[in-house]
Amino acid sequence: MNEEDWVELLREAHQEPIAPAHYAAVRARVLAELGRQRRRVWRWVWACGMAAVVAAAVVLTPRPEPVGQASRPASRPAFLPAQVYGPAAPVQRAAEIRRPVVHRRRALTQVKQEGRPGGPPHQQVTIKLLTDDPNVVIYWIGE
Amino acid sequence: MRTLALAAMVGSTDSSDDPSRTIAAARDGDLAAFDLLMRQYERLVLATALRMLGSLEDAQDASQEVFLKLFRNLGKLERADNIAAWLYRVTVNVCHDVGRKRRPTASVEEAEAVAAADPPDDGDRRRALMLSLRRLSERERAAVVLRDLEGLSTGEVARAMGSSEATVRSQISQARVKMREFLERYFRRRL
Repeated sequence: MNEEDWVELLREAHQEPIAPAHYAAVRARVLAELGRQRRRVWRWVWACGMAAVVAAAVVLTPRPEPVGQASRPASRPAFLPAQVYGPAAPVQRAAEIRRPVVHRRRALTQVKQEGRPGGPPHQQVTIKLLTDDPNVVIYWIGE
Repeated sequence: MRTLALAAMVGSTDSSDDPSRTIAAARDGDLAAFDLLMRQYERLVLATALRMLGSLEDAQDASQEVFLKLFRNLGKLERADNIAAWLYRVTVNVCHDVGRKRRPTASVEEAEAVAAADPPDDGDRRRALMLSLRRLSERERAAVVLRDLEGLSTGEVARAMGSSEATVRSQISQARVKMREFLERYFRRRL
């Protein structure tokens, strides 16, 4: 049996028909799987649609305002704004570096002074700040 | 060779249907159209998978996977004449994956067990040939199945396997040597 013969024999064996039931089984399995996938997709679509409807209902439904909040002012800053400060006194250059901390104190002082009835209208405040360097002492003078 | 492949393909095709229209309908989600498409190419896929894997059960699993891939990729296939080449390529790849999991092998001892005591007839020879096919590496088997059994040209086999024509020729040559050795050994023992 030479090579040509067995190649031809192999080809004949390959051409032998496969039972139609085997093809039908494959087709049925494929169609069943596609049907399953399609149902899965529709389930997702349905779930997403329902979630969207629920979300829209939650957003669009008018909610009653909580009791006690109606008369409250819209918003009040937790900290007093900068415009309550008086005109800044001339200060030394080194003092400007730490302005935020001292500003707050000065502002509070000023608010207290203004809010106190009958108090002196202008009282000078001097703050002495010691630094790590004993040769440098910072004086803050404010009204 | 090419004529053989086309004849094998057309043999199971319902000529009354326009393949392009069937593909378009299947692409739109028409499962009846896809069923028709499967009927047109089921022999190509199942027979190739059967020769590649050597087991009908594995071949059916591979065919199912190939057709599911076809359904998912119908949008990329515009022309009907592309489908056969695409199916060969995907079938070879899927069989490669399935074969890696199952690792089918055949030995001379197995061949002897299959063979009867009588002098070999055509049925025995065919069985021995199928066993010799299973002794090849996956790439060699794919090359022989597509070139010698499905009748594709060397270029078509190379495209389906993603390799060069020279590689395919070399694989077929090596495969034939291995098959010849197996058959000689098998029939020498039989006689």
